Amino acid sequence: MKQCIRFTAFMVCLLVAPALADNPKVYPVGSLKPVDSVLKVKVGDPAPDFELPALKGGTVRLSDFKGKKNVVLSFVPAAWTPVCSDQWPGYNLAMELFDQSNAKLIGISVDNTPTQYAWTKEMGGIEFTILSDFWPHGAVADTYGLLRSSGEAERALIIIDMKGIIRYIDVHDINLRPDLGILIGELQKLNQQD
Amino acid sequence: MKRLTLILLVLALLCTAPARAGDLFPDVTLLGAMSDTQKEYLGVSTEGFKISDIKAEYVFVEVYSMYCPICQVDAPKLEDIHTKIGLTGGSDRIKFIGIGAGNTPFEIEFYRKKFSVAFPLFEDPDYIIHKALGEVGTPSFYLVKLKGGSMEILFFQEGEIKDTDGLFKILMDKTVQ
Repeated sequence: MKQCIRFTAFMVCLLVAPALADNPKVYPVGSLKPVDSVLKVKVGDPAPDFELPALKGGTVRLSDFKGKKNVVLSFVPAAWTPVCSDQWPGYNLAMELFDQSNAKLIGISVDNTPTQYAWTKEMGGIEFTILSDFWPHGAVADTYGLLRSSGEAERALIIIDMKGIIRYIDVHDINLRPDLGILIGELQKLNQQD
Repeated sequence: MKRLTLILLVLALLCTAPARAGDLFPDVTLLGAMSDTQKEYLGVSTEGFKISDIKAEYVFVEVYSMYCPICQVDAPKLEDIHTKIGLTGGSDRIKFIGIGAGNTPFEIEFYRKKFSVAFPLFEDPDYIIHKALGEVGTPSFYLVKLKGGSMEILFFQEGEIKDTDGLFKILMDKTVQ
């Protein structure tokens, strides 16, 4: 009897799993291990510098923003997957909130630039900087301890202050979208402290 | 024992099948901060009430998300329809509400300000209402008959508003006796 109820409860959980992105082109990945890597950085550390190809052309180096802007790194696991396919359009809508905190939002995925191009077009266009951590595969994600054993990145948010110091890290459950309110609250706190 | 399992599974399937026109809209509890004007608009006195508590003959429900690009595109169109319904004297007859699937209070408030949404928006951070609706895509739109305690879905659309005037006409045709 208990086994039957457990099985039924399991089936119910499967049936009522959180909604996926609604675009039929989005690949359904199912429920994944929430976190599958070990951080190599911590709050208070200098952020490891990197230079990656940008979707809008050229390359972008993290240290270029030192002394000018706070930086928010938004690592997402992969293009054409649920949650990622709505997280960035939401941030795109809320760009003014990042601007108000003098923050440069940078999205990073392990996909190559042509894939990011097609994916962001499908999402209606993304205005903020998108970088490709494709080759060496996931090297930047790995430097931060955010590369999963499957080769995708974690869903993670990292705030770096104008001095280049890491001030906030959220390695989020890969299956869930982080609350924008918490991220913006952290940026506001950072500005109040400085 | 097997029968119990089967019944529970069937119930789970029924619960998760998307509601369509002709079905009954689930009488879910709506949560979220409201201004006095919005409470007056819906004819309720407290925050946290059921759809059936809304004082109107019909309610038009949008299930949306701040993170959904199509919802972002649709937001001004929906506000146009809401305004036109008011201009034709229909605002007492049809009330508009939005339910933010997976959206937190912060995200609801940001979306409301961003698109100057005049009608009340309600939070659903844990997808409880979204699940009760069978996990429909966003945006989804429902016209629900409230008069007589009906809760019948008179119109359902999943996806982008492609014809704003057409949707306005549907709402008028289905609610004017």
